[in-house]
Amino acid sequence: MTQRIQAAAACAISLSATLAIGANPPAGTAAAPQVTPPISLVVLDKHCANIVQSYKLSDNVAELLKKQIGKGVKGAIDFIRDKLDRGGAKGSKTKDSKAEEAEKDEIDDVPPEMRLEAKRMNWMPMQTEVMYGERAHAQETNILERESKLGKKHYPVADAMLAQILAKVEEEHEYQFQLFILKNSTRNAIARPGGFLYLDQGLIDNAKSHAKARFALAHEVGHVLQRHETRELQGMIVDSYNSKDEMQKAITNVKNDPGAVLANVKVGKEIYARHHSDQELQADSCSARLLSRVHTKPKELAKDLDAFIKDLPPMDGAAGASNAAAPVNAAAPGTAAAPVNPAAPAITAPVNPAAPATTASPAAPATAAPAPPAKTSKKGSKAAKEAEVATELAAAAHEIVASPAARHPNTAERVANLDAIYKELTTPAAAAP
Amino acid sequence: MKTVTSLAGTFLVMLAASASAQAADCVGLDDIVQVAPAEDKGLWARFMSGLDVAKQDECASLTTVVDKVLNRKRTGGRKLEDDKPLDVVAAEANLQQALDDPAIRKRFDELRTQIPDEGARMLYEAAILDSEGYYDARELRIRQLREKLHTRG
Repeated sequence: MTQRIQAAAACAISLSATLAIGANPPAGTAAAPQVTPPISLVVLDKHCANIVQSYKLSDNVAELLKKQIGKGVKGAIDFIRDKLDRGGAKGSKTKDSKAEEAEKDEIDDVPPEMRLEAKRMNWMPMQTEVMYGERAHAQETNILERESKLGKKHYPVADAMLAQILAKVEEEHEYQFQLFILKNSTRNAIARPGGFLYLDQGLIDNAKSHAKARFALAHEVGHVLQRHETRELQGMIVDSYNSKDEMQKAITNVKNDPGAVLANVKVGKEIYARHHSDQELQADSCSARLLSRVHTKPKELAKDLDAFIKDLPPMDGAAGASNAAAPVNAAAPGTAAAPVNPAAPAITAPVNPAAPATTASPAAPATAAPAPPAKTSKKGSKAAKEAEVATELAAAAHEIVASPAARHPNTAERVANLDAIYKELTTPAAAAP
Repeated sequence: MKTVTSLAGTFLVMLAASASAQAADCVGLDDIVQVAPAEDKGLWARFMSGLDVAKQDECASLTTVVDKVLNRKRTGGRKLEDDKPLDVVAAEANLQQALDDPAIRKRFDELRTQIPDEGARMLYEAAILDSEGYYDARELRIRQLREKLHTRG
């Protein structure tokens, strides 16, 4: 396992620079210059040193105030919390319109750095988080019933696995986890806010998949204890109260400089995608850390990590290959290193201006019309240039719409990350509590 | 003649009431079916009118299948990894495996006489496959039904 992931990691893109932004340097090392992350790049604890994020609302609000973020963010948080508790816009109607306007002004005044802190902190009340999770859970209709013939067979296995993992979460938390099996033969898993966990039956009904099932379950527990989904929701809420002026500006500017507006949207989307991907890597780390507590021997930990890695898509970037990528990931170290930085295409693809041109047609009917044949006259040249610009804009617009914002890290990124955390956990000095 | 019409009317009312009583046991199914596109309403009406052939313990499976066919949007959640596309060859093998089970084969044969409409029957077949744990075969049936609806549209 170690050899395999080391080899794979050797060719993977280094994420440390991105992930370490704003992180505290380890004791005894020179403090690197602190760089303020752009927006809500909240995954600063990439190796999941803290399995449970501080969840007490009072702790987080106190922390916000301690940082002298002050009244602005607190006002925004109170306002949002009030809205959530009273059912959104419907509830706000009961409020005096002047008071509401005053609150809105206060929110508009929140500077970006304060807004960032509001995204980093956990301030969503647990009750609201659970409510959010329950709402999503109520729409899930693919659940294996506990009392069904298959449910009686599979739930005891899954429950025992979860109990084994939760027994090793020594840190205090308020979650009451609920586990459900989804009627899928595949080997995926889901977490929803408030402690709702879901495992595909394909992870449970075959003992050969239990190593991956353990990893998957610990990964999803990690998502919940890090409050990932909830924090993304917080970010969206905070952003949604910032947009009045910016929206006006964007609408005005789009006539004069559509390219700049699209570029701005694209950058925002890429940052969000990066953030989402970072959270996945962090959940992988949390999983490894939790499993290192479950298992007494590194070999047993390696078995669980390896089971996950074997099931990832191939490293060559052929996304979605149905043959489950085991042979590629399981390849000998030498062969695994063959692709030249296989992670790069997935990361850089959205930024690559050349890429969209090949996929632009579906979303760009009028503006993406083929450029007129090249002519030597000035008029013709200008028209050709305009057509070229229009095509590029249409392609950029298509890419924004078509590329998924919430994407998973690619195989190389995940392998590199797991390699690093595995090393950290199995090095005697680092593994000591 | 009048009496015959009246009797037939009573019979139809009873039949409808019976079907309705069965449907009511599948909690939430009515609501899900409401979102079906207008052009497919006929199929869903034929499906709902056949509910009395389903076993009570298949309600959860019927809900699963109907929800999947209508492709209702899921909200939230963090997945371990991206979903993998259906392996059609494996799904066909899974279906064959299901049909090799005499009990499932018998149910399928019964359905052929009970539910004449092919589209509605595919929904019931998918639900049987779901309740027996043949999930890839279920996905295959759902895909076939979608293709059928798409082709017709």
